[in-house]
Amino acid sequence: MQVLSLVNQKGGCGKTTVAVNLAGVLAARGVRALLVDLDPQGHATLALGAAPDDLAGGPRDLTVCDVLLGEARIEDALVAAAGGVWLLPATARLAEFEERSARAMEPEQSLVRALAGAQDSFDVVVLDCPPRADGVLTKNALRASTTAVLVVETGAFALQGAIAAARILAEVEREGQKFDLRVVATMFDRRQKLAREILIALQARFGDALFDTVIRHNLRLREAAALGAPVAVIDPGGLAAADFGALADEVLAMASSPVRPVPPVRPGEARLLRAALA
Amino acid sequence: MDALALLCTLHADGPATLKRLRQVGCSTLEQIDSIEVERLAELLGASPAAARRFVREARSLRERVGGGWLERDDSSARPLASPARESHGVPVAPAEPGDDSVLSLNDSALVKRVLNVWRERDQVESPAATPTTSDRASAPVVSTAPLARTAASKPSAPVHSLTPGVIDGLDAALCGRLAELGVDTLDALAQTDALTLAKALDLGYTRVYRLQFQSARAIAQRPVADARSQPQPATEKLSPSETPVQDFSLRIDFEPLLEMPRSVLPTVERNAPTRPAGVDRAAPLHAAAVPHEDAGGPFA
Repeated sequence: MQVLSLVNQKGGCGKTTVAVNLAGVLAARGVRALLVDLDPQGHATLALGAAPDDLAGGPRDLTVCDVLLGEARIEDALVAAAGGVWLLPATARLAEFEERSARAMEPEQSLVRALAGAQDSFDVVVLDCPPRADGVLTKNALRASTTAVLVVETGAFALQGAIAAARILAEVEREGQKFDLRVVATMFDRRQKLAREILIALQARFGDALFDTVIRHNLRLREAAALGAPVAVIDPGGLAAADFGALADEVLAMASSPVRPVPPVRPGEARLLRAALA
Repeated sequence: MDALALLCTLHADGPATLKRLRQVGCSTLEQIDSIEVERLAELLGASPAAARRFVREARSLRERVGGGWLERDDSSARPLASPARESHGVPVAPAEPGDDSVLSLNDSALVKRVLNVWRERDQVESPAATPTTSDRASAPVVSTAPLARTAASKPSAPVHSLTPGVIDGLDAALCGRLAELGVDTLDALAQTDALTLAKALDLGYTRVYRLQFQSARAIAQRPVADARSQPQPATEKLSPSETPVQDFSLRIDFEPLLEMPRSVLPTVERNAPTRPAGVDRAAPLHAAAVPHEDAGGPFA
């Protein structure tokens, strides 16, 4: 079972969009895909048509919070979402887990224990992390991951954010957790020189760790999120679906083709990158 | 991501083009050259002209990604050394390690210190050419001395004079004002910092940017003709003991810029005086002003 966690401490860089649509494309190909929403905002839950408000207090109000707290089994909390994706939904109550984790033993191992029960049920698990790389939820995700995917928007502050996140991931790795680090660039618009330059810089910095596929800016992705379904359902023949299809190809091929490790962040590298771009 | 994938993302249809190229056995930028233009056009689903442009972009990208300009270790002697500073070899005060949040160059005091170092160096290198304080009041904002010296050290290098009508929008009055600023060639116009020039000329930034674009295009289109007709610049007289400066960039007199609001300083500083090899114009700030510039790829 491949477990991918989509991380970046910068918000708005496309973590949820990549998580939802990657899971959607994988499910459309017959891969057993599970999306775990680890963001208390519950945007991935919303983007797959499961409103957090309906879950809270509803007949099946179990969420990822209950699973992480050990109060429910994962199979009881799963929701069959749009596009054939299995969803472990989140609500704002997930913040409760962060509070209670301070008093728990090994709270960062909660997701590992939960996913152990679904080991044979899914081929790929996608973890949508909150925009905070050093919180207990992200640590849970990284502990459970086989691959950490750094989502980087090709816009302003992208490189700084990527380097800061890579530094945090390196710290987690030093604590004993081993995972591959891959980088995916999002919101790319090749008409913009800034985006082109940032992509060149990302390729120079991350090399083979950067996915060949770059997620291009596409309005269909916003529409799909608003309609509560992956873009593979809304517009299966479109450019956005093609991008995520290519990304899914790479994800599925990852197990057989390990990539060169990302070199460690050197002191002052962000400044050098910024100067090189100027 | 390899360089071919990067090329396809930047200048073609991304994964679709990449897949087609790999299917025909093309997996590196070098192999793009070996594909016939008609065949490449067929693979790209574009015209032969677009295919030729794709080949040109591949060569350009090969030079950039092959340079390894991001792989340099900046943890050694000069942590503050941006590529611009390295070209001048100026010993500057080291920055705090790990201070990535703020560019130290924003500090005007530091800028002044660097200016002083540069001035001292200028006095050592060319005392006759160093302007006095009284001269500086009437001195051009943009100094072209290094460019002229470089041109003199390479007599065969083409020089493109700045005459009215040589590019669109360049009339006699504007030529005169540019000459007053020391910008008397197309090369100088193309390489001068656009924001500085716009402020000095009191013109809109986009107009100056447009003039620079046309200058660069005119230089590319007429490399030889102007070289024959252009008189040698007056500043070419170098003493035999002087080593020609192998630096094609302009140097900017920062003194007037220190009068500007602080918010302008990073822009100017980051653009001056040189850029790293293989890196073209200042991307972030210029791109912000021109958000939807033509990518120039075959599918543009």
